[in-house]
Amino acid sequence: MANITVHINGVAQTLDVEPRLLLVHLIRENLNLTGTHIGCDTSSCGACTVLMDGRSVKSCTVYAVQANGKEIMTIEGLAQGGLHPLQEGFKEEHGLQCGFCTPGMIMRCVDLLERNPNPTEDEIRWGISGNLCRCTGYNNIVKAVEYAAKKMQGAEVPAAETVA
Amino acid sequence: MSPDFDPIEAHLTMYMTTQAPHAIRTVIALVAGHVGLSEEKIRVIASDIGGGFGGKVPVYPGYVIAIAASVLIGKPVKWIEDRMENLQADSFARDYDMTCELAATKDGKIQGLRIKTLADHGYTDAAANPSKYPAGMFSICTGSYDYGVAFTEMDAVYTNKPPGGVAYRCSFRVTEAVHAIERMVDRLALEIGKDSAQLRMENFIKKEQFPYHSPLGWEYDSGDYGPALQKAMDIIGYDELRKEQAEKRKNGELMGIGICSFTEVVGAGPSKDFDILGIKMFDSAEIRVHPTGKAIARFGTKSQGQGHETTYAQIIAQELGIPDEHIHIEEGDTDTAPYGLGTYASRSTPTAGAAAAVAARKLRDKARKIAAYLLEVSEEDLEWEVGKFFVKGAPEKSKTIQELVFAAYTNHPQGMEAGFEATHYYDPPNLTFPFGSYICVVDIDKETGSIKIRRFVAIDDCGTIINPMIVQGQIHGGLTQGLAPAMFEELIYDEDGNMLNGSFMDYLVPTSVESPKWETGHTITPCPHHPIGAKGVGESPTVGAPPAIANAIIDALSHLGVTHIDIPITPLKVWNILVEKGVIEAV
Ligand code: FES
Ligand code: FES
Repeated sequence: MANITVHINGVAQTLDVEPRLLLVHLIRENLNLTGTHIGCDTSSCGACTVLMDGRSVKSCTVYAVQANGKEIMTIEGLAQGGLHPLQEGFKEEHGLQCGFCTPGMIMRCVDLLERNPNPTEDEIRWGISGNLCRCTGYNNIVKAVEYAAKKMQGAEVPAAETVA
Repeated sequence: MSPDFDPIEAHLTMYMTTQAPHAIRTVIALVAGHVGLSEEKIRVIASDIGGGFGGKVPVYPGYVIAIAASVLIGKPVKWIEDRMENLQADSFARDYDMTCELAATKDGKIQGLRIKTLADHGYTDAAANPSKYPAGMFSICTGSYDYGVAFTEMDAVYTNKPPGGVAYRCSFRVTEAVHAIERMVDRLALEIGKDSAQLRMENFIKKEQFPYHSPLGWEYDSGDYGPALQKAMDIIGYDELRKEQAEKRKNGELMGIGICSFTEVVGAGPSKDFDILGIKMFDSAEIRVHPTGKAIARFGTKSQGQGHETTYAQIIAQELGIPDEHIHIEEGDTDTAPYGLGTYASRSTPTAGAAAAVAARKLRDKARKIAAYLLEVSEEDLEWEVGKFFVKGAPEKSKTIQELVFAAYTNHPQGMEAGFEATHYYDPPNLTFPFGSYICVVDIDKETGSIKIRRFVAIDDCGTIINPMIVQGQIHGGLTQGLAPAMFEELIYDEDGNMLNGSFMDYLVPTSVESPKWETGHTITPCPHHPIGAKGVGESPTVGAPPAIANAIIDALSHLGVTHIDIPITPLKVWNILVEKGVIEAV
C-alpha cells in the first residue's frame, strides 16, 4: 500500500492505495465521484478525462500514485457558483445526448481553451479527437466549444441559433 | 447491470442499462416465475443508461447469470461488461451478403427487383424481432421507387460468432435493405449512362400515389420525394459539382458524388402485425396533473439521450396548455411507468408520443366538461385556445387550464370522477415512413487511397418536427454512425474464427476528425395517421448515410471500371483498386 495525498476538486484527500490502482478507479470507487466515466480499456475513448495540475489526462492511463501531491479536477469540481462556460455551451448548443462522453469531453476542452482561447473549427476537431462521442456526430460539440470560447473572452453569446 | 434479490420479500430489484425495462421484467417473469420470480416482485430501474442504439434491448447471458447469483446468495451482484468483452462477445449487427438484380428498361424505368441474402446470425439469433418478421423489415428494400414486382428471400446461417442480428439503430434490417436498393440504383445509372439524380427523379413514387402499396406489401403513409432530393441538390450545388468532377477527371484527379434517397419504415408497431414474444408493440403514456396545474407524465419508453424529457413535455404542453417547464417526464421504472416495449426502432414518437397526445386530449375533453359546468354553458358553446376554454362570441368568459384542473379537485361537477389524470395505450394504425435524400462529395488521394468527405448534405423528412434542435442532433449523430460502417467499423475474424480487432485500438469509431461538418435541412410531409403528424427520425441518418458515402466513393472510381466495393471502404481497399487498375504503381 502506498500513502498518497491528492487534492481533488480543491480538497486534500489522504489515502492508502495499492500501487497498481488507476487514477480513474481512485476517483470513481474510492472517492465516489462517478461523473468521470470509463468507456474502454485501451486509452482510446477519453471518457475518463480529468485535469491533473490543469492539464487534461486520461485518468485510466495514470496510476493513482502518480497523482500524489497533484491537483485533480473532475467534472464535479468545474462549476463554481453557476455553470462553467463550457457546461453552458454544451447545454445551449445541444452538445450532448446520452451524456456518457460529456464529462471527459468538457474536461478536455477546459485544457484546450486554456492553451488556445480562440481555436478554429479545425483546431477544435483535432483538439477533441482523443475523445469519442457516439451520439452527437460532433457538430454541436464543436459549436459548444466555440460558444464557451466566445463567452470566456467576455463576448455576449446569443442563444443558440434556430436550426434549419 | 445490478440485480439485488431480497430473500425475505422474494423481491428482485434490477438497476440496469436497458432500452426496454418492461420487456425485460416480463421475460424474467415468464422464464423464472415458477421458481419464485413473480412479476409483481420484479422491479427494473433504468436511469441514465448511456447510448443504446439497439444493443441494450436484448437479454444477455450476463443478465441471467447475475440474477441467478443474486438469488443464490441473497445479496446485490454487479455485472459489468468491459469494452473488449463488448466488442468481442456482445451481439453484432449487419453481416448481410446480398445478391441483387434490378430490371429496368433501356432508358432507366425500373421494372423489378430481386434480392437474395445470406444472413450471418452468429451462434444464435440476438434480435428481439417482431415474431412475424424474422427478417425484420428487410422487405422495405424496394425503396423510394415505383415499380410492380419484387422478390426477396433470405437464408439465415448460424456461425461460431457471437449472437447476430441486433437491430443497430434501424428498425430490424432497414439499413441493409436501403443499402441494397440505393447501390443498385447507382449501378443502373452507371450501366445506362444516366445521371443518378435524374434516374431517381424519374423513378420516384409520386406524391399523389400515397398511401402507396409497395410490391412487398407495405403501405407507405405519405411522401414527397422529389422536393427533398431537389433541395439537397440545390444546397450542395449539384450541377456545378458534376462539372467540376468532369474537369478533375481530365486531370486524373479523383472526385465522387453519391446520392441516397431512402425510405425508412419505423414506429413498430400496429398490434395486428407486431409483437415481441406475443406482447403487442403498442406504447403508453400516463399524465397526472396535480391540483396546482403542474404535471407528471410517465411512459413505457426509455430515453438514452433522445431528449424525451423535452419532446414529450412539448407535446403535452401543446395539447393541454400547461407550460412545458411544469411537466415532469419520467421513464424507466417498471413500478411506476405504464407498460410499454421501450425505445428503439425510432418508435418513441410514433407510439408513446402519440399516446401522450391522445392522453392529453382525453384530459382536454374533461377540462371542457368542467369549463361548461363552471361557466354554465353547454360544451358545444366552448372554444379551445391553447391554455383555456372560452365562450364562443364572449372571449372574456373563460377558464384557464389551471383553473379547470384545480376545479377537478375542488369543485368538480356532480357525477364526474374527481382528479385530473389520463392514461393511453396507443396502438398505431400503421407504421410510419420517414424519408430523405442525402448527397455526399468525396475527394480521393490517388497516392494513398485516403478518402476525404468534402461535403455531406442531408435533407430529412420526418413529418411534423416537434423539436428542431433535437431532430437535428439526432441526424448529426446518426450520420456519424452511418459513416462508421461505410468507411471504418467492421468486426474482423481470421479463418479460425479469432477476432482480430476486439478493442478501440483497432475497431475504428469515427472521431471528430473523420466526421465531416454535417449540413442538414428538411422538408415536412406529415404522417396522416399520427395524432400530430410525426414520423420518428433517429434512425434515418444511420440508414441513409452508408449508401450515399459508398456511392460517392464508387462514383469517384467508376470511370476506371469500378462498379461496386463492399463497405467498409477503407483507404487500403481503394489503394488496391488503384494499383489493380494501373492508376498507380505499388512500390
Ligand atoms: S476509459 Fe477510455 S480512455 Fe480512459
Ligand atoms: S453524448 Fe452520448 S457519447 Fe457523447
